[in-house]
Amino acid sequence: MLQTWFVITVSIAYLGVLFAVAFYGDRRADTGRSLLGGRGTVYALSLAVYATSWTYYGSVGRAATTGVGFLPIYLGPTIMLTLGWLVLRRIIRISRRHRITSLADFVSARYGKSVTLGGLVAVIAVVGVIPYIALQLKAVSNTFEIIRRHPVITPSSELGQVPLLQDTALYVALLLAGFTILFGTRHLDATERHEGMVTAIAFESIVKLVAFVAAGVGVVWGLYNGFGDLFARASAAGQTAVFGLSDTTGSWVWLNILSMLAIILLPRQWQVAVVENVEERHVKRAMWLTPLYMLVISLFVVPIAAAGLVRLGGAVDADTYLLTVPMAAGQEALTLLVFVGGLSAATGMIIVETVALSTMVSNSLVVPALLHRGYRGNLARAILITRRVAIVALMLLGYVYFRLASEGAALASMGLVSFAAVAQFAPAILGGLFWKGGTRNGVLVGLCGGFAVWLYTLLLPTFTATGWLPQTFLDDGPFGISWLRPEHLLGINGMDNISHGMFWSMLLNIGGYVGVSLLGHPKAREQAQAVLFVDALADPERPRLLRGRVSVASLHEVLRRYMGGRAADRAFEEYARESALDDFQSTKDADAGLVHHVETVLAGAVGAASARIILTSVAGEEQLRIEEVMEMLDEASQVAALEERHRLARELHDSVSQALFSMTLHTRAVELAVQREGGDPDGKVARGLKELRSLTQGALSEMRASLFQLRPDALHEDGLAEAIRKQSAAIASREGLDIVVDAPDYRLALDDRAEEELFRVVQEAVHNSVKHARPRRIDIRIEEVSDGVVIEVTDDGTGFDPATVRSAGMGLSGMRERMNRIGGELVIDSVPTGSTTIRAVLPVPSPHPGQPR
Amino acid sequence: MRRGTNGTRDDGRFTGLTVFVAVFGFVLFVPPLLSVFDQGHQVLHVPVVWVYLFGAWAVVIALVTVLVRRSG
Repeated sequence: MLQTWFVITVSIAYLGVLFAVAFYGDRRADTGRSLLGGRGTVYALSLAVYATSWTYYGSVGRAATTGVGFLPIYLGPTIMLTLGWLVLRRIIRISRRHRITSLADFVSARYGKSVTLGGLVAVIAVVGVIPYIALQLKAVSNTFEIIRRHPVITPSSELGQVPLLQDTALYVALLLAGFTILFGTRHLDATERHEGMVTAIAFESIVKLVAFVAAGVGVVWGLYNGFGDLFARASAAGQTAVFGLSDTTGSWVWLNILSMLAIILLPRQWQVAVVENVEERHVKRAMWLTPLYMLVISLFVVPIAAAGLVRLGGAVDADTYLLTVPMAAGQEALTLLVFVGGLSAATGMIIVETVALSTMVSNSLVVPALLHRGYRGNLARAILITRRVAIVALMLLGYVYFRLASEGAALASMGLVSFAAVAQFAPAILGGLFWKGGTRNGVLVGLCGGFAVWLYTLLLPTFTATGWLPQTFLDDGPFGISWLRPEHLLGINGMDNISHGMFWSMLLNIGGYVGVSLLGHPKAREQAQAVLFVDALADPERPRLLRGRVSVASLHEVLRRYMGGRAADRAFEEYARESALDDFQSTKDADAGLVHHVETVLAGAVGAASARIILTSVAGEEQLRIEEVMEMLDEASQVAALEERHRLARELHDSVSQALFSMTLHTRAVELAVQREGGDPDGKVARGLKELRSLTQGALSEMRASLFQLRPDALHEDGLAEAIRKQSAAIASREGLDIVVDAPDYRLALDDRAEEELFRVVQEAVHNSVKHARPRRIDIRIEEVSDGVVIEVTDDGTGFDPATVRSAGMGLSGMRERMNRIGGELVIDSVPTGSTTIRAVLPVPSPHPGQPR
Repeated sequence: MRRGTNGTRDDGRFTGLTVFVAVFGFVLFVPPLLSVFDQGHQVLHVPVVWVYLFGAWAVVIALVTVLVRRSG
């Protein structure tokens, strides 16, 4: 049954089934009857792509030496998935909203759509994961060779190098490249979902689970009489290593943390968990079903390891016990099933990993480079071609690495080394989700530092096993400098290589990220993105990111050029459904919503950073002014508070304000009535009434001013003069002085910004005067002159010498700055002995009259 | 925005409880609690640490399942 031709036939048949399943999944999706709906079982199963052939075969090998020491690889993910609603859901929400289609794009988008960061992440991911792909190919190649030499059981160290053309791994790699291109790059879609591929991955998860459990049951109950019997025999044979943690407790915690991060940060995990997620609520099912899957698949690891140690001992590589134990017992069908399970674990990993990496390579490396060189062709086609080439290249790179490094134990440790590589993304991503202060430069420094340490302490040492570096490099350090030994930096001893590497790389990574972020200042755009990411769940209104200074027609043209005519029309129709847009070729300026929509659609296909480059190439470099950022901050984080304040303001206006108003009227009426009835105008009653009326009036104006404060928009509703009047009335009654406002009755033709700045200047001037000059009366004069607007604030208190006073102390420089910003100027006229006049002059006609809000 | 305060409060509670379970699980999975059971003892020939880890793991998964069920 295990003849070579039969094994080959079964393997090809299995891959054929995989193609069929993927094809079926795509068909169902195309006809609108997606298999990925429902409650998320397919999603939860696809997350189990985490269990690769490294864990499938390797965990038994690990268990043979360290007992349950293999378990953190599964326990960590359980913890992280339990946190799924806190972390994963947030990432999914953000990625959906910004159409982020890869991990590199996520980092880039979070830190101000930085091209550099996206590229750096892509490079780290490729370097970190290629050996991992090689490891999968090695598993396929080795297990095939072992099964081929049946019934002799060959230790994998004696397999040697298979001639190139007889190597199954090569054919598997080529077949998988075909599969991945077919189902992973079928078309370029803004959502980047591949339902057929996900269905096939879920199917593979079932196959490997069934195979592993079957092997476990076959061993525990077929060869022994249950767990007790098996463990008793093992302990009788002196194989107690499998019963404890041996001495792995030191690295136990680190392994938990590493695999906790790996379950979302490995490119393939990100692909299935975030990019391929259809509905957020599917996360809830994955929170328990995926850990349950992992529990079941690891249940038999220790028993199989124990059985292998008892039956085969050290003669056979423990990494292959899963296959060789049933084989040695003559259970041929089971052996074949295990082989197919291993094949599915390897292929699933390779397929998804190459799709994820090819997206990163195309969107974060190639496209930005193309755009940088001024490429103007059909970007959609260029991207598809790039991805297909990248898939083949990655597959072959993995294969070449496997061929070069398969001698010795270099590959076996690569699983964890890869985990450590992607763990470098954790500070940037998890920090970026919850901390607004992280900056692009912080990430850049942290990532570079962490990656460099990873290269030196974790990757380089594996090169000694392949003979690319001399062993003395490890033992004595480079040039014999012992404190530079890669696995004992600064002479640290007593840590295994993973704990050691993780300690140093995280120290540099987190230290660099936090330190540089705190020392530097984030750019406006970074700040804006930080708010959008961290407050993603607060459901802010759609932010206005790019100001519309580009015509509708040229936006359409941009989309057509980069994505093709049909995609452009579809995107515009989508937007038109929610807005008043009717003419796609209009030469009018596009509104901010449309610009944003086009950017998001582009981002889905080419990545956030590239989309930004493309748009700024047509719309001109955006100028995010500080107040716009403040505006966005408001929008994103304070929408709720604003709404609440508006509601409060309305209610106060309708109830308290009205009541106070009628109180003043009534008091006046009573006053008049008392006079009419001959009451003493200076008597107790009359004086009391007068006092009451003035108190009520004071309360009313105070109330109006508070209402005004509650509704910042009131400035734009009421106009500058009216707003100043209300504000002044409140201050006058609070401070007990006279403020006289002399302003035209009509509304001045000022734009929003000028109104805002002038209002703040007047506010500041009055505030200063009250605070420093102790005046009895303040005059505010607003005058429209032929060439502009002049506002004067004059008080009768004690002045100061403008030449000597520290202007910062009185907010004068702030006022000057405000005036400069709107192209006006501030004149201060004051003498220490007398009055002070602050004159704000704004030359109009204002450049942008009446901007609609 | 106005999804009803009830919805968001329940959501926050669910998130909070899952975080609690995650921390609880992490404490169960790592030393020092783990070392209590890692003394090389066996019950009916089955290693105690093996039973403990799978038991704790199953408890964490069960708790999450209950929370997910209740949250609808």
